[in-house]
Amino acid sequence: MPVRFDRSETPGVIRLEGAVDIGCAAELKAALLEALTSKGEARISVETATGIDVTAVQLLWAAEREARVSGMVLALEGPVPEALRATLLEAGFERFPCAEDPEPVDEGGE
Amino acid sequence: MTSESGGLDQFRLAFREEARELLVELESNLLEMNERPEDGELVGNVFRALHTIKGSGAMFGFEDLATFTHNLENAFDEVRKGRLAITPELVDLTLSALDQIRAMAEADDGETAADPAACTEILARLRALMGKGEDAAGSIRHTAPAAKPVQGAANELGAAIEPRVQPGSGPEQAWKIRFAPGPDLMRNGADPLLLVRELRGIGRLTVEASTAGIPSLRELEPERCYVSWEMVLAIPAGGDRGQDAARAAGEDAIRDVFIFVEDSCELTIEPARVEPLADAALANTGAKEPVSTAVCTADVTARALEEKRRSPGRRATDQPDSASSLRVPAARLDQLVDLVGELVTVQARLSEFAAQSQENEVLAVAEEIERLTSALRENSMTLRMLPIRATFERFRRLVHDLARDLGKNVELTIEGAETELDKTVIDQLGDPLMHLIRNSMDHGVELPESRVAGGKRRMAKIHLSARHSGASVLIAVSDDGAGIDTEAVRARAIERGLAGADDPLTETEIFSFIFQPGFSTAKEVTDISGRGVGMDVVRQRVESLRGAIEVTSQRGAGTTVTLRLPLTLAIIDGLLVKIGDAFFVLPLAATLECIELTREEVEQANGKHVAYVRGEIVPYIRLRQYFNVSTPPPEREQIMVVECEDGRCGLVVDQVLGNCQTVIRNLGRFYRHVQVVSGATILGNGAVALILDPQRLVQEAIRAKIQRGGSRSCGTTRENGHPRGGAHKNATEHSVGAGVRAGASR
Repeated sequence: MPVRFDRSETPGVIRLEGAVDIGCAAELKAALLEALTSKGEARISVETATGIDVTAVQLLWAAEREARVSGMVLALEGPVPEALRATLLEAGFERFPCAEDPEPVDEGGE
Repeated sequence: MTSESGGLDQFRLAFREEARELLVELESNLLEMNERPEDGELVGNVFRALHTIKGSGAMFGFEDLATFTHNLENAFDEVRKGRLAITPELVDLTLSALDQIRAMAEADDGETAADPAACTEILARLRALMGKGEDAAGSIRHTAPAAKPVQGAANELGAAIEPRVQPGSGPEQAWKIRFAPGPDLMRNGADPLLLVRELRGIGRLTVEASTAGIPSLRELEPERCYVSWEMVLAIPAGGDRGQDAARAAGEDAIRDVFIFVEDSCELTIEPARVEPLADAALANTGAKEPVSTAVCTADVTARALEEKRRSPGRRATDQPDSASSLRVPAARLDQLVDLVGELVTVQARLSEFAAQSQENEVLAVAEEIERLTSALRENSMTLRMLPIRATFERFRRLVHDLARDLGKNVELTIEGAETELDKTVIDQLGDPLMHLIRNSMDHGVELPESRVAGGKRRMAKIHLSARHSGASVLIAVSDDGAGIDTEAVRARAIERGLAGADDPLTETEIFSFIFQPGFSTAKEVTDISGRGVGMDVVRQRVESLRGAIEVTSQRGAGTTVTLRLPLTLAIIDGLLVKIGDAFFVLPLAATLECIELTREEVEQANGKHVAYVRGEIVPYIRLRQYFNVSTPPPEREQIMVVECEDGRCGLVVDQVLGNCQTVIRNLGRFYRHVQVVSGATILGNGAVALILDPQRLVQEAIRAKIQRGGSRSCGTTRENGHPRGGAHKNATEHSVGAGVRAGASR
């Protein structure tokens, strides 16, 4: 399963493994929605992910924005594999979502 | 994402279809390249087609195809740069590679007909040609056939695809591209990131992804793409080509990247107003820099993006529609034409009802419906019309390969490739044309030495042509070879019991034996022909299309086989006529005019079936005699003057009822030998009318006339008004009527 929400840890960790793409986008959305309901903090690990597509990127982007608005922390745990980082940079994304130094976002989202 | 999803399958099918077309185009360009190696345009065409196949293949999960094609593309990039010469070896190698690409494109998931060993050998030879040796050949990946997810393909392919444009390699043109995927683009299997990567393959790219369109997580549809991209792409300006040509080629190359998603995205491509990049600025960019800053100077990017920010609401839909074509599955068009056919039948019933009611308002509505139905029919039929070019072009490869295998020098010439035919007819034409060409190559065209000894050009010629003739299209395969040995054919026919030893056979009858099942005069069976199967296939297929075959041949000079085929198999404009109580339809396209024939004129002609039309003699066939109609004829009959291959001829009917749109229905296999009737149609009153084939009627009449000892040319009048052969007095009712009946019962 490319998406696994590890609730046993504190904070909870969404672990993304293998190819994280449109095939598991619905699962990822559900996991992120659940993570956003948790108090205070949640983590995302992409350490063992081998690929990522735009559906996953935009889900992470939206989740990060909403976490900031609601005052919770949604951050990456562990390093981002070089392949993923390169994919996003190549595609013109300025940074990996949920990574360090996110830009401030306006209240209310978009 | 799985390759089994319906949307993705649909796109994979679309890719296959596109790949088939591109491969035909590629073959054609490669074979022309053999003759014109100096033509840079051809090299450009080949390069672009390979690039498109590779890019699109990668996008839709044809990983092995994309990787394999990438190596060919590299070779032709070397050709473009003048570092690799076009040689017959390179062309042959590329043709072999295309066969493997074709097999990979047609592969089902996990299954491919491509030969891994052949692929490896092709790539090794390619690398050797490129001067990179066997070591380098080892580095070429040919992945085992597999249906891997598209994303996986992207990552593996990523290492192979590098921008081919090196900094400072010459003048450049810059393009500003805005790409906003539509709601279904990703569901259909396309991946925007791969498209961006593809662009990187044709130039230096600056890219900025916009996340502004991403909604709240709760509202976000997981399989929809909300991200859009603004890009600036710098590509080579095109060398010696003119500025406009270079611009057009540049835009085409960009559009090729989006070829499969154009209908499901917003795409704007505009020339960017930026100066050529300075080498010095480029030299400062390092490969390890983030890609978004590594390919263009900062001011270029800033200026281009600033322009975009000034017009935030500007979208592709504000621009003139440059993507004016739409790819539609043929089955949907067939369904549309079927529905229009039903509509035409119902409309005929409505018109009939309106005419009986004599109510003006009903009549007005019925006329309006008739007008609209007619327009709808014409439009829907036009949708299925395709030029025959692609079918013709694919035979270049066949001729090239057969010429090599047979040790013959043959050039293929094509004429009338723009002639349009219904797709259902075109789809059926490939096999018969292939057999005709194989037959010409094997039996018709002589070996070069024999040709030279016979005073002919060493290079033989096979000519493919198409042209319209009334409601038909004539497709001919000609060669300038040895011609048909009529004596040998006749002897073989007698040997097989198809004709008696003393039968007086015309040349046409002798040629007709060629199309008999199992008939061959070849002394030995080869891989190419000799089993007597191919020409039988031609006959069967042409008959199933309600077409006809004509053969002309001259010993020592060559042979021409002409296929006469209906333009369409669905709906035609016709003229409804009546003979006795029966209704018939004549195709309007074949009908020139209608003139009266009085009983007095018939009597004055002394039994000859000829009429004088504005001083010209026109022979005619009395259809009531042909169909054995026993009711007394009207005082005034009508001659429908039709144009046939052999000239003008009249078909005499009792009454002309008017125009009608005719949905052609097959008569079924019991009537398959009734040549003069091309189908039937259902009229508004529910009656069935037979659709006549004027060409066949006239040909049968002429054939019968010849059998009775007349000249072939006596039956019809050419446009100059002179009866052919000067024997119009022989065109009597007896020979014509009897002849046509004989043909129908054959």
